[in-house]
Amino acid sequence: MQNHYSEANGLLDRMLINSGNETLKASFLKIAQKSRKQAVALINHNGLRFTTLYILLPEIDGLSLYDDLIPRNQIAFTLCAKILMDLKPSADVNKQLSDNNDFIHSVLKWMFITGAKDDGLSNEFDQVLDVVASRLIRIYHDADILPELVRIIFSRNRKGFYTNDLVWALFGSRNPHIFRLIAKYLRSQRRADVELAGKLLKHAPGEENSDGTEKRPQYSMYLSWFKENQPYLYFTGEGFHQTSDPTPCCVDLGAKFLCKKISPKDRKPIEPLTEADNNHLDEFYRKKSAEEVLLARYSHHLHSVNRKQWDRWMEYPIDKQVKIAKDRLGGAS
Amino acid sequence: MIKISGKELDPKSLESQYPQGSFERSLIQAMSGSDRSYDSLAQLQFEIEMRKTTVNAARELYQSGMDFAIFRKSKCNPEYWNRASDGGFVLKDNVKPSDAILDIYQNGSYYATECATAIVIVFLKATLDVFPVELFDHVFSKITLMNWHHINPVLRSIGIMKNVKVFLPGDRMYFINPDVDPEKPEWQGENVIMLGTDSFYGHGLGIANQAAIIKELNKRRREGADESAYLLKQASQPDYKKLLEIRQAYHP
Repeated sequence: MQNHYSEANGLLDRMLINSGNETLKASFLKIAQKSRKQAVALINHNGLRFTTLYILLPEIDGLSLYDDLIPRNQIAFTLCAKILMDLKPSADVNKQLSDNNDFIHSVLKWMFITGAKDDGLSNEFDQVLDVVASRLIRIYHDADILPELVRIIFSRNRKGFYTNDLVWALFGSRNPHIFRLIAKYLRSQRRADVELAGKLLKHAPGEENSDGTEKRPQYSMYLSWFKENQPYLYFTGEGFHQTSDPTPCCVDLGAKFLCKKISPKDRKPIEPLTEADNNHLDEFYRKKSAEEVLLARYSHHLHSVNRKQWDRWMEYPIDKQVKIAKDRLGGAS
Repeated sequence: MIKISGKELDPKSLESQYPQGSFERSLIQAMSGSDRSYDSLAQLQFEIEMRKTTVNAARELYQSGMDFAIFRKSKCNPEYWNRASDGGFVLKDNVKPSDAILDIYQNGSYYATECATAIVIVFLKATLDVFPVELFDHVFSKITLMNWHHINPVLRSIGIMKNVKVFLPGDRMYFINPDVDPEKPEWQGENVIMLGTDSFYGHGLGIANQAAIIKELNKRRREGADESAYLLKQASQPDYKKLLEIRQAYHP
């Protein structure tokens, strides 16, 4: 994939950083009036940040520079026009953007990586970032942006800004590593961070808040829970659009009982189940929910400490398995 | 089967209290098809009353002229509401909550928002229709309209979906659109109010049957999508028992 953001910032970026939006716009217009060629060269600089291009979109549109832009900038211009609808989109908007190829991916990544630091620039800019993040995750399955995405979500949440679409994009990654990234905010000094982290990690057991309102996991507890359950986590597709109390992720207790890893994307076992596995599962799912939790937990524990004992235990009748698990774990679930 | 204080209720006796062909009669018939138990007849009657006001509030909101807009572009009447930075509407100080809710119905064109907000508005209006105005203003003295995060505790249960076998008019339900276009996250699903048999109100899509809503959501999927939108077998409702207790405890 082509890299559009490896070089040092261009002159226009430096103008933006040092003098702000309005000076950048005025300077760019002045340069274009003197030399259209120079203005085009500056905007097409390989190290240009997306933020700079975004701020200059009305000027680029007004000066009819679209045809002189390099493909990276044309794609970014077109996508912004499509999202915001107040710029003239090029005629082949949909064709340009519908191509599921490496080049579009690289442009989207440039937009996100070089634009993310300026999140909060304006409502419209943030909307563009939301869509770019969503496309990167849902179409290109790009996991590289997840840490920055989580950072933006928490940053916006502190300011009371809109986060729903980014949270939706984040869970759309169906990548369990996002939970490690979120869990870090359980240790934050900011109450807003801790509350949001608690909401996003509701799939794990938590402790009652000091005010008794909501349960949330503690950081170390969560990490140990995550380590135990990660191979068996799957995403449900639930989100805040649908319910106030979504469970975007669950533990597949059957998989945990068999100690067989599943795909977090579709809940299918990574390795096909044997006939013996299916027979064990039939028995397992006849038990009550609390016993399922107990069996899954004990099975995982035994499997990790003594594989031979686990092999023997798995061959016992299910009621004997429950009894042993209760004796060893004290009925804990 | 409907039970009142543990005793089976003859639905016919209750139906006879309502006119032939009325909403209430068909609702009672639908309710009889599932196991439901109430502490008192008044509780059951209150649920019937409020399910009716919910359906009416949904139909009226559809006709109010309120527009559809994503949260980033939402709008509200600044005489009654402050628009929050996340796109929600916060009730202004010194404004009567009942007036602010009624304004949405009377001046719908001043408002634009997403489907989740619309459903919250419907339940607030339905509650206003069954509560004395002074009680409503007291209970809902602070309102934030957005999605399921900011619901007044009295109506908290409308945000929590549960698996159910029988759906009834007045239920909130959800069509999910798993393959939605990443550029249109607002169509990742549609929150709806069930109006009657195969009839739903969803803000932005209007009043339509299940097939039509699925067709509309499918139009907003990503290119190459292969998974259709579908209606979840889940529903939520207000805590009718709690609302009745609040109304009964009110003595002006």
